[in-house]
Amino acid sequence: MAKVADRAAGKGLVSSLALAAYSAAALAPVAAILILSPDSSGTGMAGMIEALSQPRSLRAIGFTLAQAAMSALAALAIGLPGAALVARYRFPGRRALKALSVLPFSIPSVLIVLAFVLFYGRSGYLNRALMWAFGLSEPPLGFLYSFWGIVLVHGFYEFPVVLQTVGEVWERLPKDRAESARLLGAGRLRAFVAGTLPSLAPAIAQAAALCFLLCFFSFAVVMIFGGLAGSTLEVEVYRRARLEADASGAAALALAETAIAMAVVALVALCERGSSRGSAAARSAGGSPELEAPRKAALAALVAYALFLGVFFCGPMVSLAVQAFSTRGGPLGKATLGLGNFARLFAPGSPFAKALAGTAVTAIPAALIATVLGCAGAFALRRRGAPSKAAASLPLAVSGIVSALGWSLLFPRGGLALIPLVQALACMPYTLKSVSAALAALEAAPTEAARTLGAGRARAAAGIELGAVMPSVLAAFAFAFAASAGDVNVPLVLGQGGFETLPVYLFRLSSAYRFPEACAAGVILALISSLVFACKERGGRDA
Amino acid sequence: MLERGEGPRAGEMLRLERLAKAWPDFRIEVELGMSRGEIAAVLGPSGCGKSTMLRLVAGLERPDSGRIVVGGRDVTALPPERRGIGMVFQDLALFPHMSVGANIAYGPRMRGDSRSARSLAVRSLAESLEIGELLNRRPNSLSGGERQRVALARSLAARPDLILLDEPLSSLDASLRRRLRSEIADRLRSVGMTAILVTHDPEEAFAMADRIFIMRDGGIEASGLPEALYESPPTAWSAAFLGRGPVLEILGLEGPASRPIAKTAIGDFACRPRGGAIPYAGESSLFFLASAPKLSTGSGESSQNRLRGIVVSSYFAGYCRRVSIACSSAACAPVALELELPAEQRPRTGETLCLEIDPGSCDILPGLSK
Amino acid sequence: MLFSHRGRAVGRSLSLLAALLFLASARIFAEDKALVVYTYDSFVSEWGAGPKIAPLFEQATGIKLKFVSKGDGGQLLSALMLEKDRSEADVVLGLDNFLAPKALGTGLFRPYKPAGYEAIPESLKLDPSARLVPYDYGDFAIVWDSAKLADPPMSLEDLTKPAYAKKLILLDPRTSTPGLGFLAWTKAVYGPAWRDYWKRLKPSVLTLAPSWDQGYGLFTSGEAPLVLSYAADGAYHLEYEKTERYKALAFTDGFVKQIETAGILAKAKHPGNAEKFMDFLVSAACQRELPLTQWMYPALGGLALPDSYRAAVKAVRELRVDPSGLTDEALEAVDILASKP
Repeated sequence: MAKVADRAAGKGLVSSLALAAYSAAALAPVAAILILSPDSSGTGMAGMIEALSQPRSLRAIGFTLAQAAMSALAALAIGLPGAALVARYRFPGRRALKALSVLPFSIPSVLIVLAFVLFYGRSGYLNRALMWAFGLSEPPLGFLYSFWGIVLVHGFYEFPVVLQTVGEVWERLPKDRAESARLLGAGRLRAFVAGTLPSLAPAIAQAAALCFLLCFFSFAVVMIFGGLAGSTLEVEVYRRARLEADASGAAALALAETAIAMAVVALVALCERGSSRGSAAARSAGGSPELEAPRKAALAALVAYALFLGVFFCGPMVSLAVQAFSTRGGPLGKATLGLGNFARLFAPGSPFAKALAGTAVTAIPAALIATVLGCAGAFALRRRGAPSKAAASLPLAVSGIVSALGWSLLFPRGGLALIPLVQALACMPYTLKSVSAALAALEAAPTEAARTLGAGRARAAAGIELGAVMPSVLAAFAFAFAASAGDVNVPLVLGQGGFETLPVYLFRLSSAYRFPEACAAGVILALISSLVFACKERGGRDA
Repeated sequence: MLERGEGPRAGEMLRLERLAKAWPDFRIEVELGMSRGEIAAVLGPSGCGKSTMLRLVAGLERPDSGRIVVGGRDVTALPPERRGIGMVFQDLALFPHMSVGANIAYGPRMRGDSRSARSLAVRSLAESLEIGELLNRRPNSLSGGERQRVALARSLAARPDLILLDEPLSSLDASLRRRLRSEIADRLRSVGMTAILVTHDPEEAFAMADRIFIMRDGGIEASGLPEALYESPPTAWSAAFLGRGPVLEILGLEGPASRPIAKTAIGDFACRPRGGAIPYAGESSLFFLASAPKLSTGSGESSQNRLRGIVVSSYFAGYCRRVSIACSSAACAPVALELELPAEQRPRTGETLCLEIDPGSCDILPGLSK
Repeated sequence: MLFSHRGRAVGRSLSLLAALLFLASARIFAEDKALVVYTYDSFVSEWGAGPKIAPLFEQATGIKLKFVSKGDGGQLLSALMLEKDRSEADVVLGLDNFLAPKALGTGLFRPYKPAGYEAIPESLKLDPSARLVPYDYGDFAIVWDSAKLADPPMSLEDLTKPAYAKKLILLDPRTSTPGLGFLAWTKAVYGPAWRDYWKRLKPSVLTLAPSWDQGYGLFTSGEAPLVLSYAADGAYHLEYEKTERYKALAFTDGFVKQIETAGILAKAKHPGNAEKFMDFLVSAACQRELPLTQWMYPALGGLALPDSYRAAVKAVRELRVDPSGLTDEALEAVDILASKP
């Protein structure tokens, strides 16, 4: 027995060391900014405190928090009805709706901004339609360039995260509690509050926290739509580091930003504990309830939601696709529809093929590494407490700007081999979470059955547990691939201009007046990501 | 130095020697032996530790002390995969992501059997269990009975020395349960498999097992052949658990050992003599089969071996009529007895019945019913 | 045996990828002898000048060029300040007149007057000792979408008119160089009264885009008919889209120039080759390539411009501005726009 205990302790030590190394890697960019950045003012600590106590910094912190909080609420408002529908009803497009959650991660923000502008903008389709319908001479909707514009864009950009996270838990929730509440005389709403909401609350909180975090770090969206409304921490860090060489200021704000984000990450981890308890409740009730075909009120709600999303969410995306298919020409610069942009992308000698290959050689290994390490981490952390799980989410607390700055400080010469590693690190919290959740929902009996059939511990884990969670592993891979394929920061920073991926290419297209071609490249990027997701769905069914 | 328990006894397949494991509020300690080819049932109420005992045997839990010997081999320290013990789980634990064929082939694959040997074994087992058509299906798409057969086939395919069945029929409906019960037992016997069945259902245990162990609070309360246990349960608790008839606390014993008289709250009863020493008032109980009392024909005055009570309820139960009567006791509240009368007798509720019991039907059993 | 066939396939592809990555990095390290030029990202992009001039230079001199992009111009400077003398760069290309004072202040550059230096107009030369040598220039201008707005403004003051409410896309002076250039422009025209001007300008500004590409993207999507950009933009649209819909406006105030420069680092590992590169950079062979890649005017005078440049607007007046203190004023400018009226 003593030997067994020793071995367990040894294993604990190894996984603790691995966790420590992982946390160090996750926080390396912040540490680099703190330690390595050149301090032209030489003020150090005092400079940091001074930078933080400036009214400008405090205003930025306040504004960042406010817009992130409101945006998260908006995402909840848009996503929760969808989660309810996805959890209970069977309808065409259900899977696609759930798969939308990859969107905020896979499409570069330049294009997202453009999409929303094309639809909601002053001469966007929505305003044009309203002007035509009511015979107006000026666009009636001007709120896009305001605080509420940020909230709207973030809400529509991130609601799929809510829909997926909450829907996942909701659909596994047994209906009996809400049903028994109804039999005891509670109305539909009260039955929901008494029977369903308590089990759902952790997942809702978790989704809200994740959206909050994504909006908290949002850069382009906040600047373009809220440029006149206020400054954010991301902008302040970027500005100080880029032009001012104000190391202590940048470090202070980066530190404040990361600290706030870490608090949110800790909250997410805490919620996760609650929601895994919720899914345990779902499990004990014996599997997930069957999906129903929607009828009457549900059908009406479904159609209304589909219309709502079709107009307000798909509208911008379709506008982007239209842009991809239109070319400007002629003396008046009129746009005409056609395949010209795609033809130019695929023309011989175009660097598109190189960019595609660049995406493949970074995103595939990044996704593989993130998935393999995510699985290993999920198995290793299975029996660990909330602090370890919070540590696993640490990369979530490092913003895009901080990460780009930090890694460029750490590797001033760049390094291609580092690109997939850094991208994998950023995806790890998501892959780990995906596999962990599936493992937590797994019953012990099949693994024990495998043991009694002659499989050793490792073989049972690899063959039975890994096999049973394979759909989640594939989902994790697809997610990591899409997120890495859509990332522009890391290849720009570590590739130093000598390396092209699709998003880098897209970024360069838009820096060279070629927006329709950029949209075309974006459409292709989105197609590749959806292709990977489609493969995952098929693989998940076969596995 | 040949100690007790060393070396295989002839034909013995499993021996548990003082196998023990303790928790803060519960303790298991089991000692039992089984011969090769035997089907044993471990019968007990829920929470008695029978499933945990099975998990100890399978190696899924570690004992604090004691030994597990399978076919003369001490497997106590071995991991589950090297014990040669198969198990059919309560919820069957089929691998949801594998086809039925892959589920059955899993054990042979782990043994390193060749692909052809595997498919041959899977096919022949599936044929004999009538699931040959299902090999390419997923477990989720099967009916309860089909899943049951797949689970059994999967365990058998691994060619274990011993199979453990943990409430394997509990999730099935009554008629299917009755049918599968004999089918599984026949199947196990036909291949000469040694098996332990854990169940809380006496009927299932009697139907399937060659030998029955009754488990109570982590220990073996009684064991024996099904027929013997059925006719005369060896302890008061097991008699009560099996539900074969009333178990009454004995307040005092009189008379010679050849014709002991037990004093209970509802009267005195002359009993069958017991072989060996007589057990002892306050620590023993009076037991008779529910069908033993007969309607009294003699005069009403109550003396030995007579019961007098008011009918509380009475209903027709097929081969008999179940009657619940309340007997007024000397001391306190009336004592309720559940009896079986011939089906043609129809006592009305509220009627007072007089019954008598042959002393040859009254047994003195050690222990109390609770 | 631990993993199934799926695992083995994963393993195979992993090792294949590792080999690929190794080869890729090996190729990069093999370029050790190449002349290293630090620059900004759009210079090395497919449509930038980099890919055009590198083979020309290599043909002419036999020297390999390696461009290293450090992001945009601002990031280029901060990378340089971080690396100091440890930089692997021989030449730094792409520091403009707004960044030049800070760049020269680092003391990292050494003077070199390339062949043909005299042919560069004096007005472009930022550093008398020629540590930074101008290679192209352009004017900041407001670009007009003639399909969306009938009556364009003709001066900075015009921009403040109510007719242009929410019709102007500016770039954020905190994060973008043209954004800073616009601030310099208003400073050159209004002097210390630029703050008042920005207050008056506020109603006309639709938004502050963080970078040129995002701002111009909004503009070409039809979001606003006026955007801050460059005076040569019309040439691009004429050359590639055959349209004169988008025109830079020749404001009566005159224009502020952006002058791009390059310089040799004092600690350059290949000083001789670096000098050859500087000679090449201001030579006609190289300068000819700039108008259609950089959309800037070549620094070398007397070169014939492409026909499309007839759509580029010339300054009615050259404005000069001292870039010192601009970055602090950028914060002020943004505060003015963000303040509640």
